[in-house]
Amino acid sequence: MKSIILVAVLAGVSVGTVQSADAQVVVEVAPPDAYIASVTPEYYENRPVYFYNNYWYYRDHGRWLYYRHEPGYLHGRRAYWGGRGGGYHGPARHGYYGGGARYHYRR
Amino acid sequence: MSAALGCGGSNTPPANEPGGGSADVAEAQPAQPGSGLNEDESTSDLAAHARHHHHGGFAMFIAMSMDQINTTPEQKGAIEKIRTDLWAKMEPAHDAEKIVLLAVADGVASGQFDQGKIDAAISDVSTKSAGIHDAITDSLNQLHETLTPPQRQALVDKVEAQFSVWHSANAPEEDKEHGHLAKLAKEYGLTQDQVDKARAAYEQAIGSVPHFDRAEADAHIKSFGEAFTSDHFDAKALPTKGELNAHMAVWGINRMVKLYEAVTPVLTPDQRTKLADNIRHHANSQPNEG
Repeated sequence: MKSIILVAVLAGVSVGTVQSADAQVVVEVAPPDAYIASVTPEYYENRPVYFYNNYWYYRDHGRWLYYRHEPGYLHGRRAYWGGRGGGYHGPARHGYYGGGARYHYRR
Repeated sequence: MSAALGCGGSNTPPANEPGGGSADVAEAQPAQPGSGLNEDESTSDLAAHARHHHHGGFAMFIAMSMDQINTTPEQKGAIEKIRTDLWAKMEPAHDAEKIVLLAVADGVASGQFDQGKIDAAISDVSTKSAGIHDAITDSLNQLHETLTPPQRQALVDKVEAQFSVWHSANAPEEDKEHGHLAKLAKEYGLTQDQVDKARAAYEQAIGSVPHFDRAEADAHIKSFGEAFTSDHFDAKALPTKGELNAHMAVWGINRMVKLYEAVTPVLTPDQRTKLADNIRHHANSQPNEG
């Protein structure tokens, strides 16, 4: 599951604050290591970014961040990276045996 | 747990943008270690690779990552040269590992493992792996000079991810759903009884093997990452030396050997033949340099 949607009923929890009765907290899960290890990044704002599960992710001091609103440049790059919805892994993805990618191990 | 709160609720500092602006970003929850290993053919192959090829340690992770950092045509010549050099420097360790794999394949096929031959070959892998770091320092320095700062960061991202995959695939405990034994069960049609017996034998055997110290690798990742993403990098100045690669190789190979030794007695002759062929495939594979 790539996104975890938690619906928390806050009434009675936050006393003295003005909040809605319900709040929706959306937590996106960073790309798995196996994905980062096997996909080619795009570059944006002088850093590598990775298209995963319909979001663009990048690392910053050990944390994974994502753009909640897709920058225009990256939106334009979706065509190259697939742009066919969630979970697309990009055309430059490599396996390790067979196929044409480099450093596959071959017999 | 950090989360992206609905509109305007993020407590994550905005990322810097050209011109001093900010982007609307949020922090993601870290993925589970080892997750995604069997997500598709590519990651499944990656896991299979991580279970059988340990000889190069971090040098192998770097070489494997070089193709996937989106280099430019102008960088191609330099990258090719560095890649070729890296694989060449790892070749002695690769060849030593091949001897282990072939000995293990013979053991699986016959049901008799030549422990003396396997132990001697593992010792040789250890020696050869330990020499890799010093052998590739010039190549790493050239790689740093060749890459742009974002590409250096991408390489560090990927090396860290490669290590995490390797570490998960070679954890002492066997993941019941995604571990090596589960993979063998699926691939060769093992019964639950076969799996249970193999697991019990493996757990008993692996207990006597000195485990890999992840802290050693984490320290290397940190120092390598900081150094490689800086403007000035000298691989010779890295605090971690060749021992780390040797430790990784010895642990990974020992784990693999113990697992195959544990599973072999419960296999049928046909299953043993097929498994031995698969191990020979890994033994005889070569890095694809283009």
